[in-house]
Amino acid sequence: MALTRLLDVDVEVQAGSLDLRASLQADAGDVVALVGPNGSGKSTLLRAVAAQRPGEVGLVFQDRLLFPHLNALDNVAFGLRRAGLGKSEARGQAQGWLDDVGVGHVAGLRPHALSGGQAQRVALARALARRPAVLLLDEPFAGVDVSAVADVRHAVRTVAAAPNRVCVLVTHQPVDVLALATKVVVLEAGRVVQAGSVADVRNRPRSAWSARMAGVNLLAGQAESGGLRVGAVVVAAVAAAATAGLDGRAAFAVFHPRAVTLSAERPLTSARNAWPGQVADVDMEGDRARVRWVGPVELVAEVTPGAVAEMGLRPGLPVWASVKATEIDLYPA
Amino acid sequence: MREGRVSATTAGAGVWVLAAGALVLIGLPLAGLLMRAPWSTLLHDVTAPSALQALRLSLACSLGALALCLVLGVPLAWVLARSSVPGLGLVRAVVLVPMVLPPVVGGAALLFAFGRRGVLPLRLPFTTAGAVVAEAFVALPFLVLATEAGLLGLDRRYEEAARVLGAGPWSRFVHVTLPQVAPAVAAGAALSWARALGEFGATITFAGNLPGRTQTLPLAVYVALQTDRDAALALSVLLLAVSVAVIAGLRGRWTWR
Repeated sequence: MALTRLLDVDVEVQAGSLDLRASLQADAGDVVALVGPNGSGKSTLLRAVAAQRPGEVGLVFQDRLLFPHLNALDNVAFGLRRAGLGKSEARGQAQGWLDDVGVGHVAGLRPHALSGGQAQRVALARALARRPAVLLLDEPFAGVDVSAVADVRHAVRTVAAAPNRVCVLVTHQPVDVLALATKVVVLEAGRVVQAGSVADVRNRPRSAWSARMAGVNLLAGQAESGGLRVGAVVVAAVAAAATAGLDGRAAFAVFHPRAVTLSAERPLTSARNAWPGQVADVDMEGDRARVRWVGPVELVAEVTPGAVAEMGLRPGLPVWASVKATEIDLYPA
Repeated sequence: MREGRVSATTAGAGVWVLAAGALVLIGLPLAGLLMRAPWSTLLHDVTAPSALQALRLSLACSLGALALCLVLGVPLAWVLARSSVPGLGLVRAVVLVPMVLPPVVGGAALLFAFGRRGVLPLRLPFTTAGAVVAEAFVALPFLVLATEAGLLGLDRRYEEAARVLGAGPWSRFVHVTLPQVAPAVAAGAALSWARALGEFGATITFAGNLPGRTQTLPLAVYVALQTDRDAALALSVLLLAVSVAVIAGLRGRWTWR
């Protein structure tokens, strides 16, 4: 079946320090996660897309912007009224949308009387009411209390993946991407630095954000025979053999935190990548510990809580980090 | 806020004396009016045909002036708050002039503008319509200022949200901006209506003092003061009651915060 391209826009916006130049493409049925650091232009991009096609795109703003002078029902009916529907017809449909996202019982309440989770779902119903082919959600779980996030996520999941719609979702939670999205677009400083399926982005991260989502270490540098030059060091990688033609070009080295070994002394093993440095931070996560380490490069090591106690790992402690060349994946940027 | 209050209570006795003086300056005349009011004949005096005529005329003129202020003033406030045409500062200054101009001068200016030999001869002088225009002239700034402040305080992203939902410019103004700015417009309307109701100088200069046509309550009070002091006092109490009602209506916005 041929895919229907529902979203194909180029956006250029200069606003303050932000220089946004990005394009977005998506086909019917796609749920696109738009991710990236704060200030990278995610919200601006969504608003620019909405501004290009007023009335045809559903947008849920980050702080929802429900009209304070209208109750939930009339907020949802607003777009329907503007589309020319009569009052009772618009309200009837609006009630249906509120019911669909599980907040039919708050129809008569003004926004100030709604909880964060209820307001978010009312905003979702308002954006859906005109049956837009493109639905844009700006951090739909921000400002929603922890207990209500599950309800809102359920509502978003219900409406996001529709066969005749595109949904673009701004988030900075990797869990949202994995739970909801089919595609990922990574925005950094106003530019798309990576776009692809969730699997592509996880397997071949090309930005700090993608690496965080994939839970791997990502080093950016220049390919050099046998590895990747990052600043003063060359990270040796066996996979470099497969990318021999890359020399001199920008490339990425990726390895899992479990592949990193920390030791008090210079390791006697065959690991070609061994550098002196120090512990920056230790994070205990259940049965594992994530150690942020700074040396000639920055990386995260995953060790057991036992190792943390045994080595006395704490911020500032000088330790060696080593990574086997066989554990490092290398690919062009 | 709290710190200010603390320092006020700990300030010297002189501050308290001066503050009490201010209260006396405003309160004593009002109290005097109430004490001297002919309460036994008050009802009779304010329901006398001439008084009722002046009251009716006052209400009609002041409400007419308010309507004029709303129709012209809200769009002007919108332009001041939202547009970026050059010379807006000058426009704002011009709008403020009637607030500080002696009303008599305003009346004279109206005469030179709309009088028989004025710039734009409209046959307004010495007509009820003229009284309405004179009152609107002095009352307009109150409405414009309050509405502009209200508009500037709005979050414009609500209008963006309405635009995304398919609302055109007029629809956004009517269904989103206006309802949200309504409290500010109402406050400005109350003030400008009260100003129109109490208007004296511009009205008598521009529209004259013709009973039944341009002699509004304040003018009637002035005339009665020369002939029938009790009637003047009764009408004054009536105007005072209206003023108090306006303040009560604004309660919570500027008073009893």
